[in-house]
Amino acid sequence: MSEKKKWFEYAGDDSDVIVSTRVSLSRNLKGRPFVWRMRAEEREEVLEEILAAVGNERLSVAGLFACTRMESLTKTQAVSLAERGLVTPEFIAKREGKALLSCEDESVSIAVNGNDHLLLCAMRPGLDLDGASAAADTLESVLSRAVSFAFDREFGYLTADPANLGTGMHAELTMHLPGLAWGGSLPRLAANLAGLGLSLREGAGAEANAGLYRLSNRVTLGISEQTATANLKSMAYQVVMQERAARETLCASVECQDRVFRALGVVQNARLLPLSEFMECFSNVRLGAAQQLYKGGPALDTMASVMAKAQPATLTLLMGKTMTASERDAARASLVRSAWGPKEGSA
Amino acid sequence: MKCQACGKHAAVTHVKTITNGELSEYFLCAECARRLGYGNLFAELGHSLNLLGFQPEAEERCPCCGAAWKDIVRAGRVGCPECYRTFYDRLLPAVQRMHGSVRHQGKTPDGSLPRAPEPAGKGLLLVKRRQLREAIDAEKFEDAAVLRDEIRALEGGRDE
Ligand SMILES: [Zn+2]
Ligand SMILES: [Zn+2]
Repeated sequence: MSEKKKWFEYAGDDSDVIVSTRVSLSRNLKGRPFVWRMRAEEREEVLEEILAAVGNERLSVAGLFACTRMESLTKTQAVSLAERGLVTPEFIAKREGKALLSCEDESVSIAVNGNDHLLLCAMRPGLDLDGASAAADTLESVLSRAVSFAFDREFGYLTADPANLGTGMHAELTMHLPGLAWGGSLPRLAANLAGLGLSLREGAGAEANAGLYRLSNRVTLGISEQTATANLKSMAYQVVMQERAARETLCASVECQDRVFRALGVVQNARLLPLSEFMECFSNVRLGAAQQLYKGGPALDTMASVMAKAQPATLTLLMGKTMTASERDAARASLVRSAWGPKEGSA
Repeated sequence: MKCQACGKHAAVTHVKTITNGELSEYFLCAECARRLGYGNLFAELGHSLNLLGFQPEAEERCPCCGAAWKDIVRAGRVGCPECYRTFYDRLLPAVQRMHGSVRHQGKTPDGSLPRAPEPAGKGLLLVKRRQLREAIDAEKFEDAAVLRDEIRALEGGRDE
């Protein structure tokens, strides 16, 4: 990871509930088979064509992207990319012919030769569907001057999985929903949202412990980018309102306050911090920060960055050495303490 | 093998996930895969279309990428852009089931189509209309009645 601040090291709108916004566009090059039907040489040609396009001096994106070939990465480096949400676990499982082009703050990236030839992706902190959509749309428009995307009047942009036909656009909000999870109303809410063409699901892997959920659009054909994001935004506001109401009740209870302050004690003092315990504390500390239950402790705009750095592979890269499980838990505790612990002398 | 999410049903699919810094595989039943967002709706639809006797006559292959319909169904993915023409008749119902529409709206490569301003709530209306159709197909008439009322409310002036 470079020194430059990453996109997630800032707080965004409605960040008490909405952690981040991600908009992706699936695209394929005209006249070529989709990735799963391509030979290795053809994948290489696709990558070359895309590299030529992003390096094209006449385009405004020239020099913006650094290319990482997945094959050239160690396992830890590859997993770290997935931990930071730049690629999916599936993308790093089979790495031949795949590459990730990303700009320095990692807010805009292009995954090459995943499910489709290109997955253009823009990420923003908090709720910023307009900003993320505009960034992805601009990148797509610029690239389309150098390469031709497979398109059909009827089916729109053609993708390997027909589920992405049409705009090929998926907008996704990462939401922190400890209030609704505690109230037990999430399954019903998810079912209602599913009926409206949206999917609300639990974060994968370690995220499940942290009360993190993903809200995204499912339908991509027959609905324009603007309408899809407007729908998502209006539903997201409703979820945000419900979550805030649930938090009011939740945080009034001494049990909840106790959990928040215990978690605060752990993150500020622990000497060994296993991932699962960290994720659980993270959720409580984030809730405390968002509801302003404590003063002067961990701030909301530091949450995403600490979360990213505390993930095992990313932490290993940060420390620059392989570690045993308990060395890693110690490194995590020390990282979290230095970010969130009482400042020297002021405690 | 049992599903690792619910521990109840038989696992039918495996997905990749990151567990404690390692890439690992996770075995899921169809229901949990859908719930967790890993379902491949197209593969499921493809199978059910085959079961409905939608078997291709002979071994028709896409002239561009060489994929046969059974390859596409097995992979849950289409072979190339041309496949959408080659297997149009068989893909169309699946696409319709997935999106409720088979007519693209939104950005185009030449940008020549003027983007008509869409009235607020139109997308919602489309979604509701599709659900209504689905509810009627599935004979869930109570759901259908609720949806019908919601659609009427949307059509006749919105209050938000
Ligand atoms: Zn299951
Ligand atoms: Zn084909």
